[in-house]
Amino acid sequence: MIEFSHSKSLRKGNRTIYMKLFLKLAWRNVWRNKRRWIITFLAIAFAVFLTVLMRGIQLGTYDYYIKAISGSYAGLIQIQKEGYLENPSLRKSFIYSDKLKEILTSNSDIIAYAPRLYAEVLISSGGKSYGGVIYGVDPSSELKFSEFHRRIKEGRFLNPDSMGEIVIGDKLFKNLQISIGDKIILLGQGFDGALWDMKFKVVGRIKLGYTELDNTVIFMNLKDAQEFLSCENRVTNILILLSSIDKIPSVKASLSQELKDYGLAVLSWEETMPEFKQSIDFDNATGILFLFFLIVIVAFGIFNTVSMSVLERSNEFGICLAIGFKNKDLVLIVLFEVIFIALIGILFGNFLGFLFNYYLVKNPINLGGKYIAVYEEFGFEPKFTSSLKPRIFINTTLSMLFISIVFSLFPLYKLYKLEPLKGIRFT
Amino acid sequence: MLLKLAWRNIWRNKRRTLVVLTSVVVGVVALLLVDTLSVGMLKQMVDNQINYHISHIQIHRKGFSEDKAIEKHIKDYLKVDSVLSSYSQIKIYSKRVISYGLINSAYSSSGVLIVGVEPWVEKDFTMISKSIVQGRYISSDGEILIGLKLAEKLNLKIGDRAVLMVSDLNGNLISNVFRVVGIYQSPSVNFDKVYIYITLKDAQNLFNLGDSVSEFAILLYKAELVNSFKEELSKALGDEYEILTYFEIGPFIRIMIDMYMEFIWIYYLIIGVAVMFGVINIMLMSIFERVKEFGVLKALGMKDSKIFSLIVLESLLIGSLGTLIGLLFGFILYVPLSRSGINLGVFSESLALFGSGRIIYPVLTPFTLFLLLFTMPFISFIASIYPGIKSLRLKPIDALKYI
Repeated sequence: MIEFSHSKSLRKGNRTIYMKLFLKLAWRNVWRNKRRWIITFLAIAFAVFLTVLMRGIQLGTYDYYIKAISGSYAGLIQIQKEGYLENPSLRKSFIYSDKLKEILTSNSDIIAYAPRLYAEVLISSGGKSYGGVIYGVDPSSELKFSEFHRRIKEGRFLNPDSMGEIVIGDKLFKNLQISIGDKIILLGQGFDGALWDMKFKVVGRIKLGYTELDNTVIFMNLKDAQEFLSCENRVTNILILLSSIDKIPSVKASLSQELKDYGLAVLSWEETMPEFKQSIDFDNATGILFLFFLIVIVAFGIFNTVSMSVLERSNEFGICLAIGFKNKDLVLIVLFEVIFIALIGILFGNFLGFLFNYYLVKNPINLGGKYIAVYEEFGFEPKFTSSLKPRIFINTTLSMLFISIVFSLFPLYKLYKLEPLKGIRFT
Repeated sequence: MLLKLAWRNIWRNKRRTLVVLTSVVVGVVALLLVDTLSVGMLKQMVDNQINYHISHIQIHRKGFSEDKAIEKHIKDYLKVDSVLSSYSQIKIYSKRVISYGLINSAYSSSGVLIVGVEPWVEKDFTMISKSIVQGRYISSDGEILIGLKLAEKLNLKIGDRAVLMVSDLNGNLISNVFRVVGIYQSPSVNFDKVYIYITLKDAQNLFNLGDSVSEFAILLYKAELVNSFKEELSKALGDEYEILTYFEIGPFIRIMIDMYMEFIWIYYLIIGVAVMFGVINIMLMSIFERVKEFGVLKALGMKDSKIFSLIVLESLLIGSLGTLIGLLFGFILYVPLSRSGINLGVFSESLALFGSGRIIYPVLTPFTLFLLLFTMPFISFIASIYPGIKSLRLKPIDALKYI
């Protein structure tokens, strides 16, 4: 127990003893009127829980989408010739040299990379022609890099030593009305600008779940693509996967440094897929705005509770002032009360949010059924998961605490200005 | 009488009531903005799809929408033409030839959907002619109109030559040179990358189609009637044709609308519950301040049900008043915004993906207004039940002794 004698210790001004005393007073005050504080506690816990859950779902799902898309289609980082992004064309392809491979393999943060040659061609069979996109890939790199070999619906994916073989997107395959083993003619504009045609054997049908690609994609061995389009040893992109999304800036910087003499640009997924990046930003911004409204509404409740609790105790506070408490001491006590209740609510909300988020991380929800079509438009499986990133919990905690204190300032100010007699006479 | 009492009671502690009212107002304004903006964005997506290409109803030969091959053209186009011209509901209809092809510039090549149109009809039929950013709309044979994104990709400028390569009806590979006369930009990048326009005559020659077409696109006077009109058309034309409304052609939009309908109530629920905590809080405070008063009222013979109603009424008054003030503020924000729109230029590339355009005009539907009007009063009704029950448990004598 703290020894307590008003006059002496107050005069001595031993702050630590006071602090302990104030904390204790505040703690007891909170429990003097349980009902009022419990409702405030519930409101804070509710807001914190929802914020943690919604932020978790947003951030977790974004990361899932970024990984899903970058894994097969863009890489977390991509190497292109400068200007390819604005003008994707074979003209902007570059030599895939041994020196380049060496630079990529020597970087320990790079877990996989895949050289690709993209080109648009016309594919014809039995009098039908469609526009197609060649994905010239190195089958052995793709094994580590993408999910392509797992998406085969019929036949097989390319082998490392495939020659003259192609794998065709599901929808395109059906439109062409061909079957596995058929020979088919591709017609395209080569690196030299001339039109070339070549016969290929169809060995597989692939369904990527991405409508635009399933309508157009034609996989072939990188070597075949280079020969067909007369661009010896050239690629248009090198896609790179890193051990973690957070490594992007550092790897990007070091690669840019090493590659700047080659006229090559190193781009992150945000730069290669700006519309995707913006969709995430857009969704993120609307989510934050909504949660802001939510927290503000809860903050009004805090304001009311603190106001009422100060007003109700005017008499008590007046007496305290009369026996020698200073106004700022009383303000401190009430502030502690607010922080106590806010912290309990925040802890509880965080805990509940953590449980839900943890469950979602372990058991992502598949948004099957009719929503598949939405996502097929953009190329990933409809799934939502959550995240346990510390910053979700930290940011939520800090914003709730901050808002709670800000909304208590007005009643606290009233308390600061309270005069002993006015307080005692207050009824 | 009870209403008057309730009204006076809620103003006994002005500040407290004002604070809760403010939270209701913030809730209503937030919901109004979130909801009207979502609806506005969806509406723009639908309108753009209709106005830029799809139109209200399309007629093809069966199987065309699955596989836009040239052999799936409408052989008996004269019959369809005469059937369509007999309907007065149709504002205008357009004949199109559509199929895949490859466009080559000196620089690069790209797979495209070639659309052959009658310029004099299509000019007023879609918004494409009003979205030209360089040059002009096609007017005669040998001319081609392409999207901005495609022009950038192929490095094509006005006056440049582009080669279209297709396989014709007989399976022969045909190529033909066109001159770029215009570049358009629609609200959707994916559209701009793929759709190119030439004259109907050129397309028919290119594909060796004779006079036949692959699509009839129809605009009605009243968009609401698409479904019933579709029925009428399928009876008149028989089952050789697929007759599709804009919802069936762009399923993406339909799903977005379904998603909106399924998720919007969650927003109302979340904001509602947050407001509810505030209302319960002050209702409890106010009844515990008035325990003595209730004791007196009960001792004087006021029925429990009356006291309960009084509390419910007070809460309802706060909810309704907050809703009305919220709607007032909401409208003050909404009316100018619905005229000027909100420029979401920062997200322009994402919006181009959705095809809504960068300026979003919020739209208030009767459904939204209905939700807004009833959410908060309903929530405050729910919030008053627990405080009301508390008041019932009071015994007059204990209440009188309560300090």
